[in-house]
Amino acid sequence: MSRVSTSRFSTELVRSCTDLVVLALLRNRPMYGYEILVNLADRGNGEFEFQQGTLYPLLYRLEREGWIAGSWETPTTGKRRKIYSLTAEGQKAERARSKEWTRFTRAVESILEECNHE
Amino acid sequence: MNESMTKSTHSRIEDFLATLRTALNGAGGRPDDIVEEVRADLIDLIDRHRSQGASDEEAVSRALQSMGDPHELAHHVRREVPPFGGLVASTIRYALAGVVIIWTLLFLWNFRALSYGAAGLATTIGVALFHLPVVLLLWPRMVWRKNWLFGLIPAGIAFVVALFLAGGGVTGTGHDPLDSQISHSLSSAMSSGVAGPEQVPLDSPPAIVEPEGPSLPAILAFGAAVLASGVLLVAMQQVRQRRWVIVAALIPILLVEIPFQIEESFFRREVEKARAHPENGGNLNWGRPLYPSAFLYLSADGRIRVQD
Repeated sequence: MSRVSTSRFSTELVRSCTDLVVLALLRNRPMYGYEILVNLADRGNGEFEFQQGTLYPLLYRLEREGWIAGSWETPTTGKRRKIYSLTAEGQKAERARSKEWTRFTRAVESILEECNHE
Repeated sequence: MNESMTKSTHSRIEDFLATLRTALNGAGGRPDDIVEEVRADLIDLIDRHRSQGASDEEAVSRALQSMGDPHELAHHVRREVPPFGGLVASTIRYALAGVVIIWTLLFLWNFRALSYGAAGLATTIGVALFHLPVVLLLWPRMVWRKNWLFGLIPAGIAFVVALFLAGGGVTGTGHDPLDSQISHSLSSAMSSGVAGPEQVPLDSPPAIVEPEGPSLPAILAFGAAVLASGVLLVAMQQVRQRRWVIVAALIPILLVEIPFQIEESFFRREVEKARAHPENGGNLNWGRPLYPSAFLYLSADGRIRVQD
């Protein structure tokens, strides 16, 4: 489902880490949908650009899992927005996935390095 | 909507949102929320493109392109949003689940009072296992998977089959399934007319009539159907919600089974006393404190019965 520019990353690769990157973004502060997309693009060095329409199913799935919670808020200056924040369960999931991802990437890097030296 | 937008660009956005709303087809009872969220983000996206120098038409085109086809978006959203999850539907589901829980506990309390010991525990487990799937189905965001196999329709069919088999299995013989019950009114048998937790000697003990229980195939069919529907529903559950199955199963044990087990431990003491003094006739009739209209009866041949 996650569509990111295929010239950058493969769909399978992006799909494997979309949950993690969104949870990691929301760990710092609550955000609304569009804000999440902009932050993903900015912090991912422009390599991580989701199509806007792919974001909502992802957010609703994370919401259904209980990892994020959405609430409508109307700031004094600005538009009414649905703001997503990380739940306690989401924080645990984010920590667990983050550790898992680090272990995974280190393992892959290790294999690649070994193979390159052979 | 931005006032500087032309009528045509405004109309394109509204068309997109209207198509999305229709394609969402109720999506969990919250299509308005979803459409409003998309609208707010869409306007931000358009503003961003305009700030980068795009014309209104270009900005709207690029924003709509980023959103993709509204039918496809709705299709993916519907797969992620559990059905009947809107505020009204959720409130009704919570209320119904509460009614089922209270009704189950009352039903179980009455049913449990007419059994004893291991048969009582089996009654509690049987009733709880049969009603647990209903509560799981009713409670919002508890049971749902996007696989069609785990949809509400197969679950509903499994439950109806279980209900049908249960009805045939339990009531098919026309007798109460509890083999510990005596089909004899205590009041007609007791000459003293006294009922209470103390020992009450009987002048003429009630005649014991062995009730005819349900047939073995009916019991097996009932058990298999309940087990199958239970397994299906637990498999359908959100993984993080599975702990609530344990909580739901513990509620009848804590609120019904344990009080009756404690009560029965007091009865067993009375039984020991009665057996220690066979010269008093060896009979014991003990009104259940937790259910005053039921009596535990120890006959002279050492058998314990429950009677209403």
